Amino acid sequence: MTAGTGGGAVTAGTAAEGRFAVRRWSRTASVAAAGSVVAVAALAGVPYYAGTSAEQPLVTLFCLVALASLWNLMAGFAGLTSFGQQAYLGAGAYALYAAASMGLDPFAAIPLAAAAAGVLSLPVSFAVLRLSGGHFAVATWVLAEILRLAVTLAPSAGGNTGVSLPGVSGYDALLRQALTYWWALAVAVCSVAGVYALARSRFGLDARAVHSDPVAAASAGVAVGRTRRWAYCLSAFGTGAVGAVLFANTLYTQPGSVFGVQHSVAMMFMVVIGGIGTIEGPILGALVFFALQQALSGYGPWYLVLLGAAGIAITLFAPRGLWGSLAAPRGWSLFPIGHHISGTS
Amino acid sequence: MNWVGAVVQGVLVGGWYALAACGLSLTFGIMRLVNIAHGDLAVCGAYLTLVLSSALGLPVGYTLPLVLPIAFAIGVALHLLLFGRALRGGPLAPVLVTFGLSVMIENLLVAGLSADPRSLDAGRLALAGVRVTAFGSVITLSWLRIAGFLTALAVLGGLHLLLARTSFGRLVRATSDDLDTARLVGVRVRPVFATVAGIAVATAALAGVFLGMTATFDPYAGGLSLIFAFEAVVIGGLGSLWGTLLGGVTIGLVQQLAAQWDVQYTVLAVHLLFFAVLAVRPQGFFPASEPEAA
Amino acid sequence: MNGPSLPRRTLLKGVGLGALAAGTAACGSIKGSGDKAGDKIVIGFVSPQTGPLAGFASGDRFVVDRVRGTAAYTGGFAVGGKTYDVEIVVKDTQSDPSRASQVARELILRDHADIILTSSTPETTNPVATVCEAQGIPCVSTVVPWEAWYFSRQADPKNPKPFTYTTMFFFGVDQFGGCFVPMWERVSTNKTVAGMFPNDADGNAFRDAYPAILKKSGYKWVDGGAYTDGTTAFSSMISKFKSEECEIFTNAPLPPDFNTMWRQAAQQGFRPKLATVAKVLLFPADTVALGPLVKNIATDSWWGPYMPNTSSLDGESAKQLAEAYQSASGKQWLQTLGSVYSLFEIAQKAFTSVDTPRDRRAVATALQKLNYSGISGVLDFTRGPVPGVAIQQPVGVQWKEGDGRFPYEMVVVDNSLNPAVKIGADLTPTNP
Repeated sequence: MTAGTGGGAVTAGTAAEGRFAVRRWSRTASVAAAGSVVAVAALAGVPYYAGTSAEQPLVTLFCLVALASLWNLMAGFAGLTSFGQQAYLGAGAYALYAAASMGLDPFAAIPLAAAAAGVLSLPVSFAVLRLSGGHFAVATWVLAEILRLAVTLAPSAGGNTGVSLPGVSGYDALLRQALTYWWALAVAVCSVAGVYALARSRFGLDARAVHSDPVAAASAGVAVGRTRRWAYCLSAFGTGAVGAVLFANTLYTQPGSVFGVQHSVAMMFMVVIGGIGTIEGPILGALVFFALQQALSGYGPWYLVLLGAAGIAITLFAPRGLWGSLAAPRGWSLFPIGHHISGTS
Repeated sequence: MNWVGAVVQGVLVGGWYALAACGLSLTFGIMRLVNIAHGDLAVCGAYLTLVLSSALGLPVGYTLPLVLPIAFAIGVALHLLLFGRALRGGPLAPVLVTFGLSVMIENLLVAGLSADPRSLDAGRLALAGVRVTAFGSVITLSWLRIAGFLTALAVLGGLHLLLARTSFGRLVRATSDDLDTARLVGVRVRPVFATVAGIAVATAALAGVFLGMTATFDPYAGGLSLIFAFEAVVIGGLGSLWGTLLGGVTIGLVQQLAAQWDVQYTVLAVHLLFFAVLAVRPQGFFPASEPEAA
Repeated sequence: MNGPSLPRRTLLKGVGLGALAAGTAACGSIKGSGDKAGDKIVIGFVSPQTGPLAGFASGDRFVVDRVRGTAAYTGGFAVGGKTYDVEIVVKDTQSDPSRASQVARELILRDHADIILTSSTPETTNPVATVCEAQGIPCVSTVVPWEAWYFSRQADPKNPKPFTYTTMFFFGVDQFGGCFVPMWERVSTNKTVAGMFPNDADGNAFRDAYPAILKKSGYKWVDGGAYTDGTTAFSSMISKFKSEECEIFTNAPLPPDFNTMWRQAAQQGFRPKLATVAKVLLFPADTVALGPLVKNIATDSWWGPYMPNTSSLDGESAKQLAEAYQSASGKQWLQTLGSVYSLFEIAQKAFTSVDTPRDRRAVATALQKLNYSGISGVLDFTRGPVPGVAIQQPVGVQWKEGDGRFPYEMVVVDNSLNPAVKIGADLTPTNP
């Protein structure tokens, strides 16, 4: 049990056994919050003291952290396993292409691209959210395929060959890379912080209720459909931002690649391996995935076989993931969501 | 092509989709399991046939008596090792486990047999066609497509009889209707579900063999096969075998008719139809009120 | 060490991002990856060595080793009175355009490549060239139709601007026409041509340019439709070709799609008198999947042991290179051997004509001005259809049964564009 001195402790009645307090915040959490601020500040300075060779891998890592957190927002909090988030990755990238083709500054247009992905997800949600479980998963995948084909069939979007990002030739190469880096960092921080804030809010409570038992949640007055829709659309918005940042980073995008299901594979494994339904889990999962990718990508398909096997094993035998298995027995919580009961006397 | 030809070709091609989809329909209808690796298991069937027919020097057709039992055994083993546990592991577990299986299968195939596209040599049958005159127009039909359609009909009919007329079918229906009651009256659920999984994988492998004979396949072909199979199941109505056949034929028809208009819209038209069905009639056109009622 | 400090003018362009740019200005300079010191020239090479496009690149490792062994490369390049060691770094795209872009950036940022060479299909060359143009690194591409390479990388294809750092050599739709039409002329047909062109860079480049070329020569054009790569049902396209009574067939698909389509054509009884294909059956590996259906299909050949060319690095002939590959690998020679070899000839020519290999602009200008003769014949970058593009002249070849070592071999049947190449056999109709 966590014995903290932070605010938010509520004295909760007197039972025969003694007095109890319901707490959410803890000293660990204060340290973690302060540490996060310092870490983000240090990372923001990387372009000044470390240079482009450090920026490149970190951009990839930040995008993975953001994707994992956003996938977890759906799967971990609202019980929606999507295999089609690549639809919004691609929507963000191609929205950025459209904006930059119209003469907007590509870096200034990243929020627009994210908004486009979010807006697209709203009508889609009405069709796919009728389904759940495996049906929802495959239906979202079909949606990604529809978008891929639509882009492939549009000659103005470069067809199957893909497009280069216009409007970057005016930038100095170093500044362009630094801006991409800062955007990636910003998207990752906003995704994690946003999911955290949501999880602690009324929405988070509703989402977890929906996750554990939709029927019971509905009977307790939770608007199940609206909660799921929020999770789906916010996740799409963030994923669109990641798609735009990735495009600004690679400068080239192609439908077969950006709309590929391998992105969902990555998202799922990061969340499952790290620990579904927590804030720390997806970050840990992203770090593990990134490390494996760097260390094992030379082994080609065997690396993905290993990932598949790890995903299955963890789902079946340690469903709380690495973070859950490490932290839960020890009562660790860097970013607490739920409440703890502790004795005060 | 003329419209009559398009319709006939569409129905024949639809037979393949139904064959690919019936295993998915079966596992969902009976076990409530959406097997994301279904398409990859079909592709495995094609590779297994390729390896066996080249190792034994046999024509593709003669390897089927070996391929189908192996596929059945793989299905049983998968259920005992993975699916059974996954079904008990909460709502997300089956999706995550079968997706993980799908990733493993694809990459094991790449590692073992390379990513090169392959095809199965169906010998003379592959190149033979028959000319048919219908409604005043001449259509050339491939024997292979006709064989695929007839196989799909036979498999679906056989499954229907198995479920409706045999004692095993009664066990399956009882288990599917009410798992707990079935357990209570002494049905041993594990062997029943394992058999169903075995049948599903065997039908997938058969679909994979026809895929290999009519087109090329590579280790990543399973994803698109799964999507089409899934669309056939949803369009036809969840959990109904005859609905799956009609769903498959609908997909084949839409493809061929869209191709009449412009060949680039064939796949897109199917996906859009699927979304339209989801939006307008999510229970599909022929939902099973009772799965496989006798 | 500190990189170059940021010019104020460049900063102003980032004003759209007020806070970030202000922060940048306040803190001074953004660090680069640092210039590498030393006497080494790093050449990056990017090609699809695994994945669906692997057929193009199956000889690349051999060629790179062959080039490393030439005196010009082992002895280093003499640039501006100084000799630099040469290191070649090979990267695989796994046939994925995103990965191509990623490895190109790795070559520039981690390996400090001075030039990047890339080969095989727009899916490989275009992302790599895009990154090089943005980063200001000289780049040479090959085995990509020049239209697909040039126009699809433009911000506005209708108003194209020449590139500064990126160049290429290969040929385009005009040469395909110039190679195929003379072959069609030699078979008596009804002059109706069936075209199977997908909706991708290559397919659309052909679709835009072919009708005019055909009309000029008096042929009728039947377009099978802009199908999506990976289509498995071609029956409606085949029926269209049959109902239009097409007797000539031409295409530019992905190799697996052609295998599917050609089998289904046989099933449905579409047997054109002459098939002249592009982008497929370029390589022996492709012929295995089709077996006897490959016999007497014609295609283009931009390189082969029948070319009377010699290496500008060590004088080795095209025939010797092809045979060295066959004895080293046990596999049949393929056309990209010559193209990839020439990339390294060009790199050597460009570096040895400047004062310092670190002057990217000078190396890029040297590439644009290059005109030399090597294992791919004469490559003249100054007289291309657009700046920085050198055009090769292909010959028409047919797949014929081999003399026993390999089941099918490429034999030259038409040399209209490149008369220096000797004809090996008569043109035979694909389906008499």
